[in-house]
Amino acid sequence: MFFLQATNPNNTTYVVYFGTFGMLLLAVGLIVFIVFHQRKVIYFQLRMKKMQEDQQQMMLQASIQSQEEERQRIAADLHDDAGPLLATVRLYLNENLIHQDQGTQLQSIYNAKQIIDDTIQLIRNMSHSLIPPTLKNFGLESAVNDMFQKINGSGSISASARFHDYKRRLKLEYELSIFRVLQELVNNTLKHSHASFIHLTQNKTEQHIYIRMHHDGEGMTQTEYEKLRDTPHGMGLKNIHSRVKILNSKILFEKDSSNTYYKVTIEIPIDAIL
Amino acid sequence: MFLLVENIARFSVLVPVLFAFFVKSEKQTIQVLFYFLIFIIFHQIIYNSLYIRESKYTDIFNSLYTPIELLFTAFYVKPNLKSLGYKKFILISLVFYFICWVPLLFFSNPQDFLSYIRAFTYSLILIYCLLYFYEQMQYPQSLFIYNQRTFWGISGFLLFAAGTFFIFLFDQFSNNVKGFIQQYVYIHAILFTIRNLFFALSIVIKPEKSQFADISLSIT
Repeated sequence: MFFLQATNPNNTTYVVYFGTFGMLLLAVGLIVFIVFHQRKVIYFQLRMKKMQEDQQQMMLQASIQSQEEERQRIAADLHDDAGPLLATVRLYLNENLIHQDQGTQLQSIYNAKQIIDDTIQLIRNMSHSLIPPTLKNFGLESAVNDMFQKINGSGSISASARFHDYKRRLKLEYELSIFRVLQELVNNTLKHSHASFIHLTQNKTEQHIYIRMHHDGEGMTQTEYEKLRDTPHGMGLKNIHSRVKILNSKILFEKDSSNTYYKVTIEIPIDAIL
Repeated sequence: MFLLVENIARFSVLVPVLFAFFVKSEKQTIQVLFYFLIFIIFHQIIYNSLYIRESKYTDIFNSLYTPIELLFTAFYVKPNLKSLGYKKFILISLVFYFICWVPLLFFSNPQDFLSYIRAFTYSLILIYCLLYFYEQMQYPQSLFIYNQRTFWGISGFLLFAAGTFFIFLFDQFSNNVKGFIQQYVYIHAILFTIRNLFFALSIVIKPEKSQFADISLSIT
């Protein structure tokens, strides 16, 4: 209060005017700043939300498109393969068969039986492509080994898998989705990477299960994955992203520290175990 | 001119009161403002009658105004704060304020007392308003801030407290300074009118839910 008492009375008017003006300026400045700051934050959040919605829309479209493609493939298989086979059986087993001699009848029945067996096999294969029986009956490890065995059979690339801690199976929906993700990853590696080997490992911690896939070809990093995923062409990557998201899991694309390998890590929550 | 400004300020208090009658909201913020404005009107009437009669209780009665104003401000700001710490701070500061206020009221010169206590009260009001604005920056609402009733109310309190701080602070030393009373009345009347207009806005404004009301906003 000494300052106030010591102020020259003639200067008081100026001090009060300047003080009041300064305080008001600060107060108005603060209010204006907060209004603009809040507007900025809200618009930023709005943009973020719009981007998220766009991404979800793209994922939904990818999912619908992939379902449609699957349906078209099944329809084409049924129409092009099962349809002609059954039509041929119908030809063999027509009404005139009873008027023919016994040898011809037996031959026709034998042929029809052969075609029916082929049709059964065809339908079984189609069913297997929807849910691999090895996966359903024996689990992810067997299904992956089965897939790698087929790849090794081609002789162009070496594929191996090692499951370190897989005493208990995962829930079927997890196994199926992870298997589909792995199929897509392997398929991409075969198509684009020119790798000479693929190696897959599985590990478990208290919180998560980790599935890692290494290869020595041309791969991609997380940034490239996110960039490609958000383009209209990255259908497979969108499917991977949506499957991983549904499972409440994470996927990480990275280059090995030695710059020799690319690796993809899938982190699955531990509650996926049966 | 002097009287005109003073009378405009006096009658400006009726604007938000009339709006509050028409709005008839049960919102706590509007109710607190309404009772505060009613208190101001009654205070003005009683103070004027005491002043005219040159009553010895005029200063003591006048000294009751600031603590009650602080109480109303605290009741207005506190429900709009999210942080428990800030709410506690307001309560503790009020308790501390009244502990200091009672002895000062009885053992000091009323004129000195009024000046000090007003400056201190308005510092507290400024702090309460700053707490609100700081929190608004930390946890922005989904609604634009100027679409909220409390924003206008608290801005009114802030502008009045900031603008009148210096005139209240210099009040006791400047009674004999030429032109100070005129300066005091002009500044006080203009800011009082502005505050009442802000209160009126705060009562009238209808908060509209924005299209992104479901976003949880946090930049921290």
